[in-house]
Amino acid sequence: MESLQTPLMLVTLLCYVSAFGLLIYVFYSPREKVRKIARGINLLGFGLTTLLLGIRTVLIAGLPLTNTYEFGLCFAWAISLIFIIIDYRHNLTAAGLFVLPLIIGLMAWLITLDNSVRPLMPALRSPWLVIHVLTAVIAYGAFALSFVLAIMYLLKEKQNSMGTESKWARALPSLDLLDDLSYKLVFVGLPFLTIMLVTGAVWAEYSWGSYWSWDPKETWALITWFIYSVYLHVRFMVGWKGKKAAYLSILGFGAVMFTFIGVTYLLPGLHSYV
Amino acid sequence: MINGANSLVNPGNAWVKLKQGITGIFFKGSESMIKFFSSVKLAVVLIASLIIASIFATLYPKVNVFSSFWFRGLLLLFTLNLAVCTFKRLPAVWHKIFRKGELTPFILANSEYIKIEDSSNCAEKLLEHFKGKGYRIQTKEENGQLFIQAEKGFLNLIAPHLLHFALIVVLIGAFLGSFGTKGEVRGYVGQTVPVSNEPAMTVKINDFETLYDEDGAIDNWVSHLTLYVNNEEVKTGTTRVNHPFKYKGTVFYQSSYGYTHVVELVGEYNDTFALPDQKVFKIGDIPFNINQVRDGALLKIFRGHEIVDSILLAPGDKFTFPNGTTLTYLELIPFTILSVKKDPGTPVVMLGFVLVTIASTLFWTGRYQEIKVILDSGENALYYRVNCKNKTAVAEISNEVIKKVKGE
Ligand code: HEM
Repeated sequence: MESLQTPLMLVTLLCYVSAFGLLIYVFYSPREKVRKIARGINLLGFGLTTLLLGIRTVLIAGLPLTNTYEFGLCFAWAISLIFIIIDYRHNLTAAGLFVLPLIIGLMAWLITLDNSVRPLMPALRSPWLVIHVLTAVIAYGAFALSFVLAIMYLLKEKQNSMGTESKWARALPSLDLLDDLSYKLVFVGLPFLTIMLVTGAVWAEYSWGSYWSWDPKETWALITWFIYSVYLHVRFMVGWKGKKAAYLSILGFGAVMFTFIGVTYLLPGLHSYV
Repeated sequence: MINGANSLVNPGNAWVKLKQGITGIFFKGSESMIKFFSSVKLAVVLIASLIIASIFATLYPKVNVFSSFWFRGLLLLFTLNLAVCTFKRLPAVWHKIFRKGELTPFILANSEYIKIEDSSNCAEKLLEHFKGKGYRIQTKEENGQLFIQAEKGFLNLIAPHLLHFALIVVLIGAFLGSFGTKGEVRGYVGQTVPVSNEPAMTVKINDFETLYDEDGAIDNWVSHLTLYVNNEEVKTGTTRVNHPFKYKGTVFYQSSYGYTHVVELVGEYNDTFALPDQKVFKIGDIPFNINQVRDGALLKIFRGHEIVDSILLAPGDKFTFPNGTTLTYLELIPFTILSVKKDPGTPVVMLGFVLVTIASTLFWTGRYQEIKVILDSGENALYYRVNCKNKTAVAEISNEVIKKVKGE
């Protein structure tokens, strides 16, 4: 089953790429039927991602949350899931134009990673790992979508301010909806990120005897948390909405991606395994 | 910038202000200091500074940012900010949650307005609707006007304040942590060794073992210990990764381990040696090492970097090198390294973490909603306003109210 993973990932990637291609086509010549097909193929991609996670669960006889590859797969899965939920609730297939490149990029990168099954090192054999990583997946998924909606907001806003009735302006939903959804996702994500930080710290206390060591991964997770808490405070207390909120959401997701990928590749640290 | 330069040149001014602020806190209260520290804008500035400092610290790990005086100063300001913010707002929240009895009539400026036909019937319907939806209702009748206030989602109202309070607890715990000590225990199985940061303590290392799971992968490392305080035995137990050994606030973590192989060499040398695991030695010009694996001690003979021979040795086994030197494997002695921590702040931090987690989950209990209604039987009009941070909810609740009032 182990050798099934890479081919399956390629097929999944193909699904997402074709869904993306169809959405671009719909963007240029709106056709309800094609949009529905794109939606269907995207759903298939999500189903295959779920299957991949299922296979992984069987392979490692536990939840697939233990290394970069598995976390990345869960991350892509969460982004895909939240996108599907938002799409069905608000008819926001256009968001796929921005979500899908994210998922495609993630998937393409995951294919290059080692997906063989390795035994877990003793420090990782802890129930805290599951809560820690699961909350991270949910928070990151929510922030990813908030980021996408923020970009859509800025694009639409720019179109509006130029006063042109362009394709973008028509394809994207109202500014209010984009702003509100983007904020709601931050509001959902932040408590999960908070629990992620706390459970990570408790776990570190049990395994290393130090709940906080300021290692780069920890520090960047804290920076991310700070950015999103600023987001909520300036939104309600200083009145930052719309454009400024969108920029903060983008900044926050930049920190998320740097914590996830940048720290591992660009900075030295303890967390070399996740 | 110029302001900052001024206060550097003339510290007296700043000092006077600080003193006034402190006196303000202790005496009259609600002075400028409190105002300063209760500002959310200050919070944003402080958090932004913490972000920039942290980014800098990860880019230049050689600079000691996190233990620096100024970083701790920032954290202190942040804690004060949080504390003033939280405690200043507490009475208002308390009042909102626990207020009882009659409502004080209120004014709804610029509120929504609906014309109605039968105001008595309408009030009944509305109240029933609110009750059914689980709202807490308070009413007051005055001058032909009926005031209704319906609220729910109190847990959500508490959430940010509990979260802030929890963060203060964590920060206080972290501060207490600076009074803690760290140390180490290292020794061979069978030895009794001192605990570096606890002069009264010694630890006897009874055993060390590597545990394997059913797939043959390393599951954990376990040290079996007996702890002595002033030479009196106080506790026996184990420490393993993720399950530290604890005694009255002193915690022992499995941090590292190793093996030493005791061998006797006859020929080129005639002595007993203690060889560290995996370290390469030479007999004649032949390099070798001994590596402890799951099944025993593995002797490896090299040519260059290539392994040309490997033999599993049990105590008593012999191996003869090409130059005639005989190695007799005598004994394996494992050693263990534990890190030791005594931190009076850790329980406080953990308590803070529990509160942080509770507060975080409270955010999912649904936004606090407050509906204010004035039913004016004289004008046959209904004024209402919905307060909620969730915009969609405001629209939904308003629609429900309108529907109820208009008789569906
Ligand atoms: C990084 C640390 C902080 C975190 C994670 C945090 C988190 C939060 C969260 C999640 C909310 C609720 C926002 C909402 O309802 O949408 C909130 C509200 C608030 N925060 Fe903070 N906060 C932090 C620091 C501070 C500081 C330092 C202050 C002091 C000025 C502050 C003042 C407030 C105020 C006044 C509210 C509004 C409370 C209300 O709803 O009545 N926060 N905070």
